[in-house]
Amino acid sequence: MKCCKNCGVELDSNMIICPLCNQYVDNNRLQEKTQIQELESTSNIQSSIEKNRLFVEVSAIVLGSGVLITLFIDWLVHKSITWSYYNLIASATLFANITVIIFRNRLPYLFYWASFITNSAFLIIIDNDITDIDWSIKLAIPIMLSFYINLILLTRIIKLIREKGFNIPAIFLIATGLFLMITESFISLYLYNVIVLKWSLIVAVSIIPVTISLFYIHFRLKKRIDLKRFFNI
Amino acid sequence: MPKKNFEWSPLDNAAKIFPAVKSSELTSVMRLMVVLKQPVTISKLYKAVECSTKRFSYFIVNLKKGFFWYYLQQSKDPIQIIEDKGIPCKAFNHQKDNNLLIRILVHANTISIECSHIITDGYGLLTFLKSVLYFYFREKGLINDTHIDSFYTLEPNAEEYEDAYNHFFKNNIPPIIRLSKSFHLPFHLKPKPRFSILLSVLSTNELLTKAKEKEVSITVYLVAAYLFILQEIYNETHTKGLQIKNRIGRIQVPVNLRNIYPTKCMRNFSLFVMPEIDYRLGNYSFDEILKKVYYQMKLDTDEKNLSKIISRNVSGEKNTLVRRIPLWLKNILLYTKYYSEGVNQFSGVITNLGKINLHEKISDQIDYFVITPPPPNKRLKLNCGVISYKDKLVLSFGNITKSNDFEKRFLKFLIKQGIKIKITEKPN
Repeated sequence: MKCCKNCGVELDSNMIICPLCNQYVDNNRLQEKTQIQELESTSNIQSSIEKNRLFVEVSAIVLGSGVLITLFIDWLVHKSITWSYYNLIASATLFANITVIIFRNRLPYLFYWASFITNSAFLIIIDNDITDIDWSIKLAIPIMLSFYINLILLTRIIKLIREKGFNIPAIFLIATGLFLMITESFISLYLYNVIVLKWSLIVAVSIIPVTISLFYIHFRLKKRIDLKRFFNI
Repeated sequence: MPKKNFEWSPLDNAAKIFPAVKSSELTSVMRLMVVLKQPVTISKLYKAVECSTKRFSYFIVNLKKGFFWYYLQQSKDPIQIIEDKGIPCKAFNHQKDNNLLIRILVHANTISIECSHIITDGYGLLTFLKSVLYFYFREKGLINDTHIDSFYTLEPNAEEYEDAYNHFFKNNIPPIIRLSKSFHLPFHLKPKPRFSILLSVLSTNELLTKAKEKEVSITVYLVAAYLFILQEIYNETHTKGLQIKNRIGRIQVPVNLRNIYPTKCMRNFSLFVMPEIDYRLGNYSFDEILKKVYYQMKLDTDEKNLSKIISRNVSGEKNTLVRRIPLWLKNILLYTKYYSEGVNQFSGVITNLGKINLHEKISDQIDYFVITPPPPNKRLKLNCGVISYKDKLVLSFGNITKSNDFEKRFLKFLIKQGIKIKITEKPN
């Protein structure tokens, strides 16, 4: 009688692995398997770190050379740095965003805030260069903040949903409608010092029937659910 | 009339409360374990479970949320057979495991089936385990189809998955009197995870002899012992000067309604009788308690009285207004009602699955069975499952407190009566 040393059940004579506890019946094989798994997992981690590092390096080279070339041409033509300054700022922001995107899996929420801070800094620098700091603080950053908050909420909600289907585009549409209303609120506050919703309201109202239809299709198609069961009284 | 092919079904009347109150601690998962004399041959068990799954396909279901009610939907997922380690009666983790409400746990020479009370009661679970055992021993070549009761080999009958409460519901029956709150054990809860079990094995014949001496059944004897020990604890608590609001000891004893109503129902179909003693009336001797429990159980298991309870329970779900309340609100109402009324009505639970009989060709392969009722709630704190096989009767105490005082007193009491007891934590 062949028994599993781990869980004690009786095994067929041709079994190598216990189907109950997934342990090798032979201890030597178990050790071999553990060593192989350890090696595989170490090499997987290493290769993914290397890939990310390589991508960041390539991005730095591409963006850095673009910045150097534009600075050089600008200097040749104007004997000073004028328009190439914007490219420098944009490339720096892009590089910062690429870096946080690469490491987003480790610290997902830090990614959002890091990205927000970099982009805000970019907007303030541009604003400061064109006029005094004005629209970036009053308009662009609040809109961008609402965009990021919307994005975080959306990611959380989508994560929580177990059965994904047509409900996802429906939720996207709702989020978009909300974002547009917030955007118009900030624009209206900036321009007229009062919140007046016009076009965003029309967009939001137009979204409602589409969203309802998408939710309806989702629940209709969701894993053979029929509405008779769902609404059974 | 029940549907011909089972695809989905509303929850039966008794099951409706469980989704509203279940949690990681109050799991509503019960366990039935069989201890074999030989290690389990795992390949044969897989085949046996496959056969049982086909026969009892209405247990292979997912719990789904409707707009007004939960419902059960047939699934194609196989029953998980996993290694038996860790805490018994754990909640089903649908993120980690499959979506079924039943699983099988195996270790060495034990097979346990854990299932949610949402799909069936102790009798249904026992029938399913018996079918697994019959098919298992058939795979092992110890028996053939002629030794297996035709019930296990025939196609499932539609009556097996109907809601029998609804079937036997009678209209225009007067309401039952609401019970007063009962005494609860004054023990402190354990930190999470709280649930632990204590198993004690005793001789069925010895206990039966003692019960017969008093001219009662084993269930009545054990319920009386339970109330007697509760009385001891009540008196001690009272003497210590601790405040006790509720002074009635009341035990919930499930009754298998299949013995009273003609049905093949395999879903929940049991009700409770609640023998009680009022501690305000003075100290009761064990014989006095026995007499009270005996007559109360006789009276309460009368068909007409049970009809009244069925009607009370079912009339709620038949109410036009209640039916139209959205599920989320129903859940809140049920949860509130459960904690404000349900759990306050009784001080303890004893569930006795009775004596198990199997075909004589395989009967020697089995050592004993263990039934573990779902973990008790925070007020009840403790419950007890009873099952017997041949001369081995197993008491399984499920406890969520830091104290084992009740179990110790209960078992000491039985020892004093001359019954030998072997205590075990885990069978091997």
